[in-house]
Amino acid sequence: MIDAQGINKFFGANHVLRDCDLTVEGGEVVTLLGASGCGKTTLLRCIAGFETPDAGTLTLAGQDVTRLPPNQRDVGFVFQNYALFPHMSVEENVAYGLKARKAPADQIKREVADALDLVSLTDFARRFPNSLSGGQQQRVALARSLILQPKVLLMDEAFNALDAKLRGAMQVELRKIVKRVGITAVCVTHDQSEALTISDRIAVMAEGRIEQFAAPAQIYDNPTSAFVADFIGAANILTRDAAARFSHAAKTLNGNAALVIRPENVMLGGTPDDGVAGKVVFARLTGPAMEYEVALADGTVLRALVDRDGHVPLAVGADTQVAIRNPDACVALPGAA
Amino acid sequence: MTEAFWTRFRDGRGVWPAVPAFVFLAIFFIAPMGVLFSFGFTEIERGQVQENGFTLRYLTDTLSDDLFWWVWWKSFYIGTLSTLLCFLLAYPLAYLYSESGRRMRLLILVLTISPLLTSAIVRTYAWLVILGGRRGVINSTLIELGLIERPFRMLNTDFAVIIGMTQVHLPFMVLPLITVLAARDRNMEAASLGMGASRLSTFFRIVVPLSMPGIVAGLTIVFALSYTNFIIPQLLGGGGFTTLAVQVYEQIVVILDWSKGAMLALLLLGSCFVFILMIGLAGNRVMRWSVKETVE
Amino acid sequence: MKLTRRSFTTTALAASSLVAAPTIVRAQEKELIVISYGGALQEPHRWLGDKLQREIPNLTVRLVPSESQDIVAQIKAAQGFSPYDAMPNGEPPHLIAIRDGYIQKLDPTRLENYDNVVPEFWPKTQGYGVPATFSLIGLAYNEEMVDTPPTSWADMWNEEYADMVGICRTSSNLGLGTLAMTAKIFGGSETDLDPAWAKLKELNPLAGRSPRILAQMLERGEIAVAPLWNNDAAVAAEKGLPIKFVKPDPGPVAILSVMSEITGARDTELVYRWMDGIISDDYQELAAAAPYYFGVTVQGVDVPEAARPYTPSTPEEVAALQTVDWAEIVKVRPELVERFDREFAT
Ligand SMILES: Nc1ncnc2c1ncn2[C@@H]1O[C@H](COP(=O)(O)OP(=O)(O)OP(=O)(O)O)[C@@H](O)[C@H]1O
Ligand SMILES: [Mg+2]
Repeated sequence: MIDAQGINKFFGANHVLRDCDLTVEGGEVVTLLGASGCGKTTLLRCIAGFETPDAGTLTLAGQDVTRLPPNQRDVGFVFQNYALFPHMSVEENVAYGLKARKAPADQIKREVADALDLVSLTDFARRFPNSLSGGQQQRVALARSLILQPKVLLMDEAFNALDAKLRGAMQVELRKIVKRVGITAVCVTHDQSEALTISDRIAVMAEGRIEQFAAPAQIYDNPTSAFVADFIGAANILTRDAAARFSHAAKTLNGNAALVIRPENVMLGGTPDDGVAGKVVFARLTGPAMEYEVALADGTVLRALVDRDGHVPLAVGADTQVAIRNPDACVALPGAA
Repeated sequence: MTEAFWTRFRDGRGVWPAVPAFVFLAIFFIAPMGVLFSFGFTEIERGQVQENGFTLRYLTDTLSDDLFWWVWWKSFYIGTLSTLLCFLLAYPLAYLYSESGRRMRLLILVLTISPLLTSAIVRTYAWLVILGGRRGVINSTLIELGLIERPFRMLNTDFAVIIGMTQVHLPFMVLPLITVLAARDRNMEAASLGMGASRLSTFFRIVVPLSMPGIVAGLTIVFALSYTNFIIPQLLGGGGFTTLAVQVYEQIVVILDWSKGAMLALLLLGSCFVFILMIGLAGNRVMRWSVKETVE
Repeated sequence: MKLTRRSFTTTALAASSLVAAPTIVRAQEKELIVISYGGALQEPHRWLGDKLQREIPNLTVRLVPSESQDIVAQIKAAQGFSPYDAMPNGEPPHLIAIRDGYIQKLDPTRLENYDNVVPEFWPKTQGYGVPATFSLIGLAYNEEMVDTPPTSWADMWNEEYADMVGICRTSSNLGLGTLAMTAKIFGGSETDLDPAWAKLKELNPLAGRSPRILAQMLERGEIAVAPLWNNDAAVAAEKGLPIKFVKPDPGPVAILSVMSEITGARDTELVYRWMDGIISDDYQELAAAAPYYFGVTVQGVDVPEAARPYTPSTPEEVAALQTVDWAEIVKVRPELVERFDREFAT
């Protein structure tokens, strides 16, 4: 459905997108994930046509649209700052695209009512965006795009202003709508759990490059770079020397440069023969689990997530033994850590 | 709201910094204005205010004078037309500015502001050279080219006054428009295009309405300036041209009738105030969205 | 000089008093501020001012061009504390100034040159100021635009000049003179100006806000013919512009200009020196010369040959000069100014 090949974009001397390739199948939900300023919005704007790439080609539904203006692309876009028209009521905002398409008045009326109902904003139809909360504005922005049933829906942090409950509901709702209508969606988010929830595939970006593009489980379990590993799930990345202390993991390391160990894969409080000695330097309660930071003798610090069930909390300063629960779940990386 | 105002006043919050400006205005603006306007209700003989001289004669005489209404209409029509012309010229210029690179922006800004550095009278005299008679730049060119035989009468017409005012007041329209257009959120236009609207309809339905604050400011300033300008009508309109502002000048300086002059000045400023208020109210209506509504 | 102890002391004292007391020095400085004409016509006044500055130590004579019309308004607003000392007025404003008390009665005994003046002029001053010069209102035309020059006032209405005639607003003496003269030749009078308004309206004229602006309109060819001051026409012709002046039948209108002391003048003695200068032979000779061609008011000054087209040069021409009963006009001046707008601005 979307096929971006070798996209490059410069803002002056600033090389913002570097050889980005992104292929999205019809009906698929893809998330762009990455640190602030890495080029997520820019890539999305290139797909929508608000920016023209300096190099590369973009194909939508088999048609080369690299130079096509945005109003001929049939792409919906939800802006990071919503970009609602402040001089139009909620209703008028939602009806804008249909009016631009010269849809008949009664159809507009019906579809606007449906769209507002979908995002639970029926009571706010005549309000101006200025008098709405951030979450309400975001829902208007969503309704405004969804009503046009675009082939492709691009969402730039569409849920960041919503409270956790509403956010969860909207994520689920979105997946349903997307699947029902058969929309192809590309979302941008900072929030990795959101990415894991709504995506069929995730593209992790860093400094204008797509580092890894794969299914969520794949990204989580088999990160191909230290950056991806760290970005998703805040993994422990051990150098070859540090990893070598853990006898179980040594075979996984298998001559590579670094080893990725998920915090939940770190076990505390074993016996000296199956662990490495360490000292608790930080302890924190995170709901169902305790989070610790443990310093090893050589100064390496490991993060550990320990299920509270049957666990006696350790105090800061306590000595403990660190071990790896399942060595097979560790990922070895060839590059330097 | 008044309650809050007085509380703040007692606490001295927010009010005191405005005191110097207020005192200055009171001494150098409000008081002289008060004196001037009171002349409009006073009999004055040979420069002396007469005792028990209060009179409404000047008010009633003026309001029942056809000439006054005719002249008022002229002022209004000249002011309105030149304001609209200013707007039509300034908007594309300001839009061009907002779409331009740094160099072009600087150029437009300099071109806009530099006329403010020469006096309005000098610039108005330049129009005499351009429009004036058979030796004027336009007529002599047209005659030279053999396009016309007798020179057009351009100077000493409504047209000349409107053109002259438009040129002199253009910066006051361009600057507020530049401010709003350059600072606008481009995503609004992107959103409109993204929803399939054409560039033209995006311009009229999104860009123009959102620049309303600048439009209202520009219209207000330029209308007030044009409606009350008494120099340009005298220089470019000729001896057979008059506006309310010119009448004030004539009554006070030439006819030396202070009472009548003061009454005309009062009516000029009063009506100017009303028109500005009307522009402001119309603007507020159009810009309802910019104020947060509390309850639906 | 041998520097004795005593002479040193006196010198030092004198020097220190100069340094210490600049106010004393300044107090000896005198200033005379006179209202004058605009442009080249100011030059005779300047000449007289320079002459007085040479004769009287520490005197500065400043001339203020009255083109801006607001001088009288300023004097009126100053309520007896006028910033100006002397001013020339044509007959209409002279009468207004007397009525409103802006100018002072003349004391003839303080003038050395009193007897120089042609006696017939004195009554016209009403006992205020000195008769300075007189000027003519005639018809000026732009040679490039006119085939047959006008010869009489009635020629303004010739088919040839249709829509090309200019007149001055009635806020000026020129406009009032034009109005009065028109009334006279079309069966009206100073007290019956309606025929004049009707005839002027018939011209569909282009109006000038001031005589200077009217002259410029003629120079630029916006109009072909206009009633104009002889002096303005002469200055334009002298600059090489195609402007010609005629003394139209039955005769041009002569208006006397009176130089008076303004009420509240700071140094009356100086004002009298100035007025005496105005009626001196030297000044009058200069004012009568090219390119100003002011009419002289003293006896025995020869009018130069070049002035012929601009001033009355034969006894018949003098006899033909038209005068206006300004007292009648002045009574209704405010209404006449407004009437102009009623007729021509609406
Ligand atoms: N119009 C522009 N002109 C110049 N530089 C720009 C422009 N837009 C973005 N950039 C730069 O391009 C880089 C990528 O910006 P982009 O908005 O794509 O980041 P992002 O990944 O969306 O960040 P965030 O998560 O904070 O929204 C940034 O360094 C930014 O400063
Ligand atoms: Mg972004």
